[in-house]
Amino acid sequence: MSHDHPHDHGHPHPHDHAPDGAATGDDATVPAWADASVPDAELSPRQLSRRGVIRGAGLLGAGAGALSVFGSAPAFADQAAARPAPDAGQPLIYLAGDHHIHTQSSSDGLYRVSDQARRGAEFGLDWMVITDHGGATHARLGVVNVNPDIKAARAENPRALLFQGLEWNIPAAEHATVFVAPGDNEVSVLQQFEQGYDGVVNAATDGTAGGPVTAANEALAISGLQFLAAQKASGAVADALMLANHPARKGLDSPHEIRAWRDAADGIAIGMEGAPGHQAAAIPGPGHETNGRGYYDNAPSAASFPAYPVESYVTYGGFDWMTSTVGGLWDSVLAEGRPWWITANSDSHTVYNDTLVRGAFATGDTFDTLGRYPNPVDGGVPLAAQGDFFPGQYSRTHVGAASYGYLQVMAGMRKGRVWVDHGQLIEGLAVTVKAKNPGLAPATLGGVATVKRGGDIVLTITIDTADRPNNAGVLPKLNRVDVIRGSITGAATDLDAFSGPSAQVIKSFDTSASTGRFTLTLTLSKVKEPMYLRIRGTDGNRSQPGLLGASIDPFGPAADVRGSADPWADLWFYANPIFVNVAR
Amino acid sequence: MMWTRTDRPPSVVAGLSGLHADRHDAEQLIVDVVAAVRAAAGDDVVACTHLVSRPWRHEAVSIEVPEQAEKALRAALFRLPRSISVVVVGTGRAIAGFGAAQQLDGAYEAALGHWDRRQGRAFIFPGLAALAERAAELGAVSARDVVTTTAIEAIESSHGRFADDAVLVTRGFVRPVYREGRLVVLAGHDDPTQLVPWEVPNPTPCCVDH
Repeated sequence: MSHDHPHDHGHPHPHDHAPDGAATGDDATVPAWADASVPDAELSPRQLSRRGVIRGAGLLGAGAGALSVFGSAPAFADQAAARPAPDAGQPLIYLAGDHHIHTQSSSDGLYRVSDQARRGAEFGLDWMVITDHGGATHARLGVVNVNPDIKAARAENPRALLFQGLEWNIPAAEHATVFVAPGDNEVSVLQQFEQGYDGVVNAATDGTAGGPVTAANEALAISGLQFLAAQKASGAVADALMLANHPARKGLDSPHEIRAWRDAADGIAIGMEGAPGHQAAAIPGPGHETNGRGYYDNAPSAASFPAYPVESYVTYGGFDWMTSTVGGLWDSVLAEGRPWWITANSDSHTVYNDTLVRGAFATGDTFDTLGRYPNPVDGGVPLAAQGDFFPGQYSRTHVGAASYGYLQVMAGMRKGRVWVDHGQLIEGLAVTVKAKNPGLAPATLGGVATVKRGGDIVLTITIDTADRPNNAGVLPKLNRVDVIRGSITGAATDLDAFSGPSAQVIKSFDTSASTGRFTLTLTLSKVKEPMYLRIRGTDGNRSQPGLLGASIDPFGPAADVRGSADPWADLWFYANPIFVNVAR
Repeated sequence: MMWTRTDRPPSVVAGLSGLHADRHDAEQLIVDVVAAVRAAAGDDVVACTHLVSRPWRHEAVSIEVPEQAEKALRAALFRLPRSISVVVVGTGRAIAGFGAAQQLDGAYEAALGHWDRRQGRAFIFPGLAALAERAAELGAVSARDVVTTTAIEAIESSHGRFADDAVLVTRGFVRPVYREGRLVVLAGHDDPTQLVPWEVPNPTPCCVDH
């Protein structure tokens, strides 16, 4: 059987391994928690926790390059005939971050860049992307004026990587994070991109199915991604990435658009939010009565993709329907053997129970004249009707980087070395797949393991459980870990397909009695067809049979209920897949 | 009380399309037409919005009135602006239409979907006003009352079984949909005594800098 060869698509770029230039993070130090010269007393509780993980592994002080809490290629050297895996021998540091953060330069924003950067750093994030909404005012003023603030925040937070990006109104579709590697042209490339390709700036938001301008608008989105690829190829920026945000929120991102973005420019559009931000939006209380978790409380409309069911408009255990449905859209795309990765972010605009409010404009000033709101002031009253968390407070995207730096984070994301968690459910995760027969390459998240036809493979999952209370003051308990398997069946014949019928939960581990670090293994025998394996875990508080039936997913995440979804009482982590290739 | 096609009094369904992209504009069309037939039809009006596909996806509407109000309905339809196309389904599923050809497809889809009770999201239905009044007073109405006192035939929760004495937390806003011949409220629940409808009156708007 022939199939699309899954590997290499995600990492064909020599830039991935280029050493950082000074402007792109070469001077950045390792995170404070990893730096043995920083005493414990100077660390925040969460940083201290992360140091504990490292220290437990006996690695503290060995330097960032050796911070392989979870090296990606264990026991590799003795496999003499091995074709090196893409990540072979490269130790990885998992860096926590958030690629979806708003500031006062968003038309619905509030905080200064420095507020968000400081909060994110306090909550333990190693990298962040500032993503104010695209729009006419932002394209004219905001995208320029936010840059000095970002540069200042980089200086104020030397332990965190702070990218400039924007939230793109994808022509004919939803929003997306677009960001570039820092450098001399970060502003001009983003501004050109926004002026040329933002859906709102160019009056190109209409994506009505069958509508008269839909094809042209969808094509503009593709041109935008190709523009970013060209900027990277020309060296104007060292790297650029796009990730679709809250993809199922309003049903606007059709399956064929998602596939088209993926294929438009190799390695620019790499994935989507597996979980949206705004996770506090449905905490029971005044002002939240009809909110969906993540503000997922919409319904099919004239602009939505017609075939999406009503069930797609809510979250499941806080995760977007495309990701949370075993056998759903994400599995449909993964079954092609092409990279499409998930992340989890804050989408932080105005934080639940925060007391800051917008300051008053000086006479004559408006958002349109300044390109931003005045600095926030303390209103003294906790605002419980707001629905967001600060960066890192609840959602984290953990990226496996070869070393600490801007380009390394981007490369790790592109390779799919990414797992995500909510509510600090777990502190560390390592996943590998390797063939039992020697001589073939193992792989970690996002990678490709190869097994000889008919051979056995071993999936190894190592988890560090939470060892201290989370940001809600509760020690999260990991109750269960599920392994999901899907066949790789090659390029989609129906570009609007959104079911991956072969995907199902093949194993559930009861982890309720496990603490500290523990390892789970699963052997799959006599592998004959290419496949992928992905895992998720949960505190086990809420579940329901998956949307495609209990035989596919007996204990899937439960649909979140409007106005009644305490995010701290329903925690999940998800990891990106590992592909398994079958050699003849 | 069962509101099935066979035991209801004979009725007429009109499908209308103005190629509306915005649901509120389509609902305004319903409001305008229903105002003109209320006197003849009384509370016995079911009016729905429909997402239809041709010539492109948009919000069409359908309005069902008892036969005795057919004349008032037809009079209202003939007064509509030319931008609206109309298809009427009457006794014996007889079909007639007028208006711009481009929109007849959408009007037809809405009219037949409603007539066959396959599709449609009810914006107006018998019992709605009384239900909204009670909900405004109480905040929630017992699920049993909803089914016995309105045209709504069932409440389904995506979270499975719920309590016999469950209440529907309507906040005065209920938009049941036709599913396989029945008018059904789709809800979810965390607490099996509190059913929360899927559709809310104030979905979170898009946030962009226009």
